[in-house]
This record gives sequence, structure tokens and C-alpha cells, in this order.
Amino acid sequence: MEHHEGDIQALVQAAQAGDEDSAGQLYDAFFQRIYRYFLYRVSGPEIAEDLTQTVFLEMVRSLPRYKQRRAARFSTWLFQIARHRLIDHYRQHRETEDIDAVIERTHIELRVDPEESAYDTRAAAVWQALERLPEKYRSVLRLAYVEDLDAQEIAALLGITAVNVRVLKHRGMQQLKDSLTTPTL
Amino acid sequence: MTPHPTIKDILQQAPRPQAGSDATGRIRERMLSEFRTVTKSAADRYNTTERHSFSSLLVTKHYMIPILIAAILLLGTTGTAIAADQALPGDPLYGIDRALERSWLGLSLSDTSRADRLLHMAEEREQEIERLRVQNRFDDVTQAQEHEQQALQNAQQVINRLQAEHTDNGNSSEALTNVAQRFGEISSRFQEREQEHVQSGQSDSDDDDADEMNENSDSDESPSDDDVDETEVNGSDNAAGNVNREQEQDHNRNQNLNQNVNHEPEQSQEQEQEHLQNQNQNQNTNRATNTDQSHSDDPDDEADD
Repeated sequence: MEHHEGDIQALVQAAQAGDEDSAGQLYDAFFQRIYRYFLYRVSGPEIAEDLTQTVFLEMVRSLPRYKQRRAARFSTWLFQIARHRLIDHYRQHRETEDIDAVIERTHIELRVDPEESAYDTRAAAVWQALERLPEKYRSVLRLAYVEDLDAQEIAALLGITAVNVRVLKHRGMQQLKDSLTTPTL
Repeated sequence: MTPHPTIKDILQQAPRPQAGSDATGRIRERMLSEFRTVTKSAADRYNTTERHSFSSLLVTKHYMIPILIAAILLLGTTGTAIAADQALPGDPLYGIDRALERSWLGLSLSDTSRADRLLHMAEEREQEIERLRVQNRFDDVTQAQEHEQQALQNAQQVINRLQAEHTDNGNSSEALTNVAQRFGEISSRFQEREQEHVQSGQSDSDDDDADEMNENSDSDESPSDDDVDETEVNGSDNAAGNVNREQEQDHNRNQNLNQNVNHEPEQSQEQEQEHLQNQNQNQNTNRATNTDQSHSDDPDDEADD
């Protein structure tokens, strides 16, 4: 369910005033995206669930100190919490991460059967072309189109500005199109 | 599904794995439980602050302790100062009253202000004298009179110096004029009281039928100048001599105060010498002496037997 930023801010204010229902609505609005963010980057759904719970617990604990700013959005703040929890997780489980499981979830093209249909054939080509893109373009395109994050949220996760995100997104998409139309494809 | 989907469509239609409903509900409940805990503890903190606002100020706000001590000391000092201000000569707090007055005097920003404060002190002594007389504390009246005289003498010195400076500079100050005028008024009242005291002493001596006292005063031609009194005391015996000595002291106080800013110092010295000579003659020969012609013309100043 899509939420406008104004609705989110109203929910935040109500939750800060102690309204439990508003806190629940904030959870519903962001839970699946936060969960997916972790799921694509850790080795199992259980770990993603634990990390997601950690993020929301930290959200309610920090909510009284959260201050709304005109340029900053609540989702940006929330994804920054998620990013830090993921970094902590990587530091603690550097040796035990199941790389194969991560690759399977991250590389969606591996789950596409090229023989099924023309759509699947083209989709497989798109995913393969995406993987050949430079990392900076690939990350932005995945976060924008697969994980449904907007420019500010991506900027918070990557530590760059929202303008940079838009530029990278535009150039990445252009390179992806170019690679799909080249004879070598 | 279109046969030629756009790249954006393909990316957006990628499978989106979701958490199971069990995990979603479990994490949600865990989060809301934490939310209730956080909200309740915040409310408790707020209520505690409201309920124990003053006690928490004392207990938790350690920086308030020195402020409270300072406030108590300030209140105590202020109360003592107020009580001391009402003290009379002979009272335990009178010394504090005088010390505060001296401190107040030391804070004067100008000589005019200093003279004004000295006159204020003299006026306070006047009030104290009245209150002491009402309470029949005549021994303490003498002390108050001495303090008043001292304040007036100090004020006179300051006014003299200021007037000399203004004369040199060729300009005058309204504040100084007012202070000088006020000094004249207070000095006049002081003289009247002293004269009453002298006359009452003379009545006592009349009862003894032993004294002859002539008190003459001479006024300067200038109406703004204070008088220079010439007192002549004639005594015939020891009792009369004692009274005469008292009157002499009163006379000396008057004479000191009556040295006005426009008074001619040479004339004052001459008159004082004449007075002392006459006094010595009276005491030694026990006879009436001729008074100075210039001072005996005024019958009002003569004290008959």
C-alpha cells in the first residue's frame, strides 16, 4: 500500500504522541520493503526477519527523539537505521555468510526460465545485461526498480545525494538499453 | 503480458519475496509491545516530574543547591539590614546600621552625591533623636547628636570644596545649590535643638541661682550665611562652672557648624579668640565682664539671671 509523505508524517506525529495504532500503520507501510532489503543481502530469511525486527524496535525507541525536517523523510531515516544494522551484521558474520544463498536471491535472473515464453526470454536478457553493468549503476537500478526505493532512500543507503542517484539511475538505464540493442546481445 | 515489455517493466515485475504472515505478525506484536513500554516510561517520567517538581528541583538539580543557599543568605542579610535601619543608638544593631551607612556613603559616585548622603545621614540622626526623646533615652541622645554633628561637618567640608571648585570654574550646579540649601536647613534645626538644650541647662542653673550666662550671637550681613555665635559664659562658683562647661561644649558644637561656606575665616578666628579670652576672665574673676560691644546689642541673645 502506497503512502504519501504527508500521511507518513501524520502517522509519525501521532505515534510520537503515543498512538499505538499509528505506530502499527508505520510498521505496515515499511515492513516488507525493509525485510526485502535485508533478504537480498543476507544469507537467510530468518536473519532478515531478525534484522527487520531490530530496525523496528529501534524505530519505536528512537521515535520520541525523531524530528521532522522539511528536506528529510521518515523513510530515509528508517532505511539509514536498516543500513547501519546491516553493516553491523556484516561485521559480526563476515566469515559465516552463505554467499551462494545471497547470490541466488540477489540475482533474480537465475530464477527465470528462458524457455518458458518470449517475455521470459527478454526478461532473462534484461537481467543478464543488468549484471554486466558497472556496480554503481546496477545498485541504483536494483534499489529503484526491484526494491521500490525512491531517490532519497537510495541516497541514504548509498551515502550519496538524491541528485546523484537520479543521474546514476538515468545513465544506468541508458547503458542497459544500449547493451540490449547491441549485436553482441 | 506484452511481447515486448520495457526494461523498466521487467525490472519492476521481478519476483518480490515477502516475509510470511507469521513472521510479520510476530515482529509487529513485538514492536508494539516495545512501543507501549516506551510510551509508558515516558509518561511516568512526565508525571514524576510534575508531581515532584519542587522536591526534584532540590534532589536532582544539584546546581540549585548553591543558588538556594545564596538566596537564604541574601534574605537573611536583607532582613538584618532592614532591622538595623530601624535601630537607635544603644541598640545592638545600631553598629550595623552605621556600617551600612558608611558603605552606602562609599558608593557615592560624586562629591555632590556624597554630600547629599551625609545630609541624609544627619537627617536620620534627627529622626533618631526624636525617637530617643520619646523613649526617654536621653543618654543615647547625646551620641546621636554627636553623630549628626559629625555628618554635618563632613558635609560642610565637601560642600565648601565643591563651591570653591565651581567658583574657580565659573559655573554653578543646581544640585550643589540644593545640597547647600538643604545643609543650611538641617544646620538651623541642629542649632535650634542645641539652643533649646542650652536654655534648658540655663534654667537648671537659674534654680541654683549661681550663674550668669550671656549668649550672644552675631549674624552676618548676608542672609544666606549662617550665623557665627559668640557665647559668653560667666560663672561664680563650681556648680556654675560645671554648667558653664556644658554650655561651652554646646557653644563649640554650634560654632563649628556655623562656619558657613561664605564665612570669613579671619573674622571667625578673631571672634573665637575674643570668646576664649572672655571666658577665661569670667571663670577666674567670678565677675561679670563686659561683652563685646558688637555682640551685646541684641537683647534677645542675652541670658539674664
